[in-house]
Amino acid sequence: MNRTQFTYLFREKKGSHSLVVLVMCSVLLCFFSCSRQPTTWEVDIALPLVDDLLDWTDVIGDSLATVESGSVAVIRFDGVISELDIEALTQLPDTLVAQELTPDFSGGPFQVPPGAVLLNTQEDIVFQGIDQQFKSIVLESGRIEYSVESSTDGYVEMQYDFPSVTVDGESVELYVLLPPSGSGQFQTETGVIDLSGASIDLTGVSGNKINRIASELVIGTPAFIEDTAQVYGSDSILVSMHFKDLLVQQVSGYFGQEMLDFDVEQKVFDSAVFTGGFLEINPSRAMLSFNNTLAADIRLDLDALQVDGIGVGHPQLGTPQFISRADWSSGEVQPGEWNMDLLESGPAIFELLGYLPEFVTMQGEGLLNPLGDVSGGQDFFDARQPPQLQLDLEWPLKGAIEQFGVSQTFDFGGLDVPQFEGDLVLRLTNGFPVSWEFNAEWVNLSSAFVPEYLDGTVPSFFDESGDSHVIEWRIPISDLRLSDPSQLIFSARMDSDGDVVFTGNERLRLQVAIEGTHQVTVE
Amino acid sequence: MNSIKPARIWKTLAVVALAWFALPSALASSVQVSGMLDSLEVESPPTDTSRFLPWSLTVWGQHRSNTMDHQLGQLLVRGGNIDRSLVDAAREAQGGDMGTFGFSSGLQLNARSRRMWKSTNLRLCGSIQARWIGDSRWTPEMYDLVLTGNAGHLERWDVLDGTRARSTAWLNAAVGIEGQKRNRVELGLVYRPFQYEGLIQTGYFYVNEALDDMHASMRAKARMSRKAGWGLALNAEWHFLREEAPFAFHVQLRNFGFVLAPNPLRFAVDTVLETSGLPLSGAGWSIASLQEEGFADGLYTADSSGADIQMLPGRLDLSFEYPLSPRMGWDVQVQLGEWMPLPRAISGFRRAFGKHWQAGVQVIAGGWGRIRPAAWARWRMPNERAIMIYLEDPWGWGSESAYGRGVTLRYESL
Repeated sequence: MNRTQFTYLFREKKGSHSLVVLVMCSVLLCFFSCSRQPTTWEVDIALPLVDDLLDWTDVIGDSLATVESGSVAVIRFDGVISELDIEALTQLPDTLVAQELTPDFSGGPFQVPPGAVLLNTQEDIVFQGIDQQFKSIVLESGRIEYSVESSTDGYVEMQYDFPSVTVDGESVELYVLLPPSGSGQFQTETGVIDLSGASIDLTGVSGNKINRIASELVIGTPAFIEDTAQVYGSDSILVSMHFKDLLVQQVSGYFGQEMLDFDVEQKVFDSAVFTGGFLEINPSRAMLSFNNTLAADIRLDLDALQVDGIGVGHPQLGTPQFISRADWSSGEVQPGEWNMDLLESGPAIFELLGYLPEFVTMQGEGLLNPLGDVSGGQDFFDARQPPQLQLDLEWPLKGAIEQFGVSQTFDFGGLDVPQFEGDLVLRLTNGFPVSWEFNAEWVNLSSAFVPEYLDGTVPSFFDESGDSHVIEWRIPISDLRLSDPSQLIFSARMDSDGDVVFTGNERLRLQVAIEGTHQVTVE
Repeated sequence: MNSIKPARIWKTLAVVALAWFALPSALASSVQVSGMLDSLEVESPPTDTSRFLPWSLTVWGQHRSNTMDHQLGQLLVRGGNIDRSLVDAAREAQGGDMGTFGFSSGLQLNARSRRMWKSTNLRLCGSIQARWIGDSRWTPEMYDLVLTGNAGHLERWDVLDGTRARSTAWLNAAVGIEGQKRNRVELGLVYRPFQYEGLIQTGYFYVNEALDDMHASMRAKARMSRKAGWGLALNAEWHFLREEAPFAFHVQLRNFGFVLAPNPLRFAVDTVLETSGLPLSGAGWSIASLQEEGFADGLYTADSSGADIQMLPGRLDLSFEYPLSPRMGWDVQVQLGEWMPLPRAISGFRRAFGKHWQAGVQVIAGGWGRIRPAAWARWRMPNERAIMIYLEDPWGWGSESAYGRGVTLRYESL
């Protein structure tokens, strides 16, 4: 190698060292440059947060009620206030069926060739503890938990058929094959058969019984396995079938003279929301009706109708009411109906309701098939269409209002606006033809902040004095207070000077906005 | 007395350059030097007589905005408290235009064989590139919303259309052939470790002065790579160089290709909220439902099925050089692509000083920023090597109020 070549090589070598140094330095600088502090800046925000209305649907507090606007608004309620749940018809008791097969000899072994039948029996599985005489049912849900045990030294097969139980048109059949068990050991197989949607004929093997399922059980050695079972006198084969959690969708038969509790308690005005006062209620229609969807007669004995414990008289109270059975012959239910006109009550039930009671209660009892089995075992019940108590009410919104008070509590989970300083803007707009006196209390649940109180009067929207029916407050707040879970407890009272007519369009509007400076932080 | 050695100078400059390159976006290092500095010289075979291939290494980094000065950009990227005066100054600079910020950094190693391939006039050539670029744009209203809030312009419809942000990085290892006058074409294998992009296609925001009417709508999409992608790219150069012609013309195409991105995470938002405030409770939008877990999940769709074919942000450079005298020249260059919101136009004057020095000044318009100057110097070392430094907006290097910085360093064997 001559000197010139050596010089070039040396030069290049120095260059590669430089590159290594450069790469290391750049990597180090890269790491140093990755460390950063949060970037922060301030923004001025102004946003509406809440806009909520308090109207007549809030006052009557029920989603089934509708308000028809007009020159005189009408509140209508036409819906179910109670449904009759008859457990005796919809729940079947759990039933355990066990079969144990043991040899009639002692000692052994006894040779059992392939294809031998050890047991072949047809019998009914009887549901105990049912007072009614059921002929058929359709299950909403339920299951059979089965278990098969064998101590036989040889293959054992079991075929358990339930020809009267069908799921999706197929009868329920169970086949179990157990391998030979060792000395003193049991071969076991367990499982579950889902009976959801199953149709069950409860007339048994003979076809003219009640409350029983026909079954056929065959136990033997499998013909397709070349194995000779060695059976000893001490061997056994145990089969158990456990019918569990059977909930009925449809049932037919004779339901017997079942007593039904008929205690109805209907919440009317929530005292937490309606704090007191008087609201003149003069309904033009108020009909209470009972729809009997059972294909079985009912005798209704109503003892009392009470408004917050105050009894209300009515000609139909204390007198047995016979309600005819429903007609299911067309596949659609034609219920038996019974009506009670509440406008005939005395003292008038609506005078009592005007004082904003919490509960209306009705006590009594019913009796199924008061005349016995007049249908020849043709009673029918579909749990999806239970008997219902319905109310049809029409209430024109006009009358006097005295110190009618409402209260609502709004929960806030906290608003995460870091580094915020500003105002919470509350605005109340009165759209009622009467003025409202109100109180508002904003309470933080952590009690780290002093509650804020507001009160005043919002004039009606056509106040003759010209006062604005909109009032606004500003509450200074910080991010700590905003992020803390809090409650806004709002209560208001209105008082009309004599009769007042409502159109149904009345609203009390609550708006909340936020305005202030927020520090944005980007980590 | 210690003498200043060229190797030490280069090393020092290179350390600075690579450090700049290694810094994150706002401090990223480079820009291609406009034109071929030696292009008017007669084509000559490589003069580097070392055993190694003739090569050149270029590292660069630049960041630039048309509204945000260096101080604001640095605060956004490196952290710290942003004073409102900085925000207002940037907003005033933006006026009614779209705001832009972009960066480009990378390194490129070019090499070519010393000898012709067999008996042809062709040489083998190759290059390795590593690039990281980013681009973001915003409407004036978006800027106001994000950095000053909405309280200062109630009753105004804020238009957010076209606001976007995207960034990508890739490596390109290419081989090809080089003909006479350094015309070359290369096909490269591309490895892209990541890319993300987000775009507001349409977006509006409005709040009235009474604070009881708000309208917010957003149709936007975003895409993020979850796995590295592979692709192909074409690099090509064509140089018009004639001894009889009094000018030179160059065309450079880089990273014209695509990447196959497997299972990218795609998000899409298309929602409108028009409210005077939300009800306290109830189905749909309400204060109560907002506080429920998973509420935001219903506002967007996410999908990561299949693969996307995405174009690389390639770039086309067109350069024209005209000698004013044997030692002076004038050049013009236009650069297109690489996610620049506007083509970058460069015009410059250069002069040779003695046998070893060249220097030039330029005016640059377009790209991500406003009109700015640039300057460069090139030293042809006695050992058939050359080193070049290029500074964009050189007066801005000592100033926090400049709208960006850029530096390019090139070391080459001739």
